[in-house]
Amino acid sequence: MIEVSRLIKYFRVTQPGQGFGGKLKALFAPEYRTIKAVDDISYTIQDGEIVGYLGPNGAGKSTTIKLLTGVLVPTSGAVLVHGVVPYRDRKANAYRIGVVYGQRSQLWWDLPLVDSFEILGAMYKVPAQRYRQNLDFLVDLLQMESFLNQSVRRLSLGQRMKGDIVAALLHEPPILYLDEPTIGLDIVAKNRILQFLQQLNREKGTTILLTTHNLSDVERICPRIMIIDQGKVVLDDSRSEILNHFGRMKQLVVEFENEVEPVDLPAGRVVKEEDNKLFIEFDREQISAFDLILSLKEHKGIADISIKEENIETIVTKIYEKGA
Amino acid sequence: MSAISPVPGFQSDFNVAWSLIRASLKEKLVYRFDLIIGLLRTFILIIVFRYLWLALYGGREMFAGVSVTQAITYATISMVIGPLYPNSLILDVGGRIRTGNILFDITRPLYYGNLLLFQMSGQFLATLVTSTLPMFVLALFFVELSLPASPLIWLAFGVSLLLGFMVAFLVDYLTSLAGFWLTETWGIFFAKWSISDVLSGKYLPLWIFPPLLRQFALLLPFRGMSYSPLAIFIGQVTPDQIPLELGLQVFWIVALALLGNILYRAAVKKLAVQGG
Repeated sequence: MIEVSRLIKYFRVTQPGQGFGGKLKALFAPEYRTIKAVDDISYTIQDGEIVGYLGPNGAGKSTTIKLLTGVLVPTSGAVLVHGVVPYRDRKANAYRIGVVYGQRSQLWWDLPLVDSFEILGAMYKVPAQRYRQNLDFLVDLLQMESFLNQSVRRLSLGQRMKGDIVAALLHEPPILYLDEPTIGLDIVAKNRILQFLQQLNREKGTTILLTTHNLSDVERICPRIMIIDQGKVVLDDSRSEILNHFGRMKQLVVEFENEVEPVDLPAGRVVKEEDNKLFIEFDREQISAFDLILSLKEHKGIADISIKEENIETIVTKIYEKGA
Repeated sequence: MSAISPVPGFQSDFNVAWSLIRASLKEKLVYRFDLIIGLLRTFILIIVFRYLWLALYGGREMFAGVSVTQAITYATISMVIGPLYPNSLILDVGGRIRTGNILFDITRPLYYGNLLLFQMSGQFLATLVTSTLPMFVLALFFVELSLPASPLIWLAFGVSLLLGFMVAFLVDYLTSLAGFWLTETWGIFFAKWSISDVLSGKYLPLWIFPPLLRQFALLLPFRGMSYSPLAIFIGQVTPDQIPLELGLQVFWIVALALLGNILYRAAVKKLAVQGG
């Protein structure tokens, strides 16, 4: 179980100063600015959950992961991972967690991939037989036999990412954190990895916390979604609730041949005008798409009409915009 | 999944060390070109120092109680063992801090200093086999050396060399921890490099230093790097002084290791509170 209560992490950064005079001044009397990376967050994650941690760049996702792994000490508030305070007992915490960073690698660059696994197996003191079992299980599931003996520097991004996932799991951690694991991956590699995470969760009961700004990842595999922005949790709910609650709204996109004509709508409202397209948002419990389109029948200049279903992407965009 | 319980005992501790040593041994061997350049550099330095000492002695047999052959032997062995010692950890560690990859290192079930020590030990072994031993054999053909007659001196030299490696590693490790406070590490790297090369007696033996500087250098840990093993090798440290010399090296290792521990904790704390 992961318990986070009233967690706060502020960073104090120096201002670089403007111009020569400002830079000189900053050298001797630096000015500080406080960044509220994580700003009073509380939640509990039960064993065996898959949680999507969603937010734009700079929302505080990575900082949260660093607090959970014990790299960072909170400014105030508490983190408890399986009863351990991560930063106070980094070693005990290390055995309980696996971490994958999409933008970093813990593999030994110059050596064959399998060498990294052996080193980590030894470092975490995994019994020899368990090591073999785990490696076989993971390599089989992620289909990695073909590049196990290639040096890491020669691997493709997708292969390297699989390597990093195996590296994080050889010591059978009950908790797996993934920080933007699908970043830059093609669709095939991404699907394989997401499928694997689901399978891992099902077969081994591994608790998974996945941060991403790619919403379709989360929508597919995370039954619980937390949306975080500017250091705060703006939404923490089940996937179905979120879709239900926000999914009522739909968008009608009307494309005109030349330029946008003024329209008279019985319901809904114009949210955006772009080039010669008109974006109309409507509540499907108020008016059906059919009736709305029917109300536009007088307009001769319409070239095309399409309906956009709301997915988490648009929901999140809306929440962000509201917050901003 | 419940957490695995790590295998206890010496065997698995040894496995940790050995797997890291073996990995860095292999890594070192990947860069063959680098190795060849290193060999060439060492060979040139050996030859240059030979002529330098011959010129400095100018036909005299003895200077400051040391014969010209002894001086040349000191310089040659110094060049041969030089590459065994780590000296650029701060660049690696600084790089890992800048890129943020240090977060892997500080959340391992293994003290970072030990991880680095094992890595450097691997490089030590790789360098010993690919550079130090072949260079020593080569030097026997090109330079007139005075080798110790007694196997005990050879043994003492071997022990002192290992201790010297530890001192060099710890000095380098302590320097590298500065990377946690500074973004720009080249300055520290060069400063430490110059200071330790001079004060360890790597290029110039401590006995030809002016008396005040010599006393100063002998009081510092750097002597344990080059001066101790080399002075033992050429007999400048007499057999009855050997235990004291080795004892001094051990003292510095313990002191520096303790300091490293304290500094590491402060470094991680700094990182953990202020961020990367």
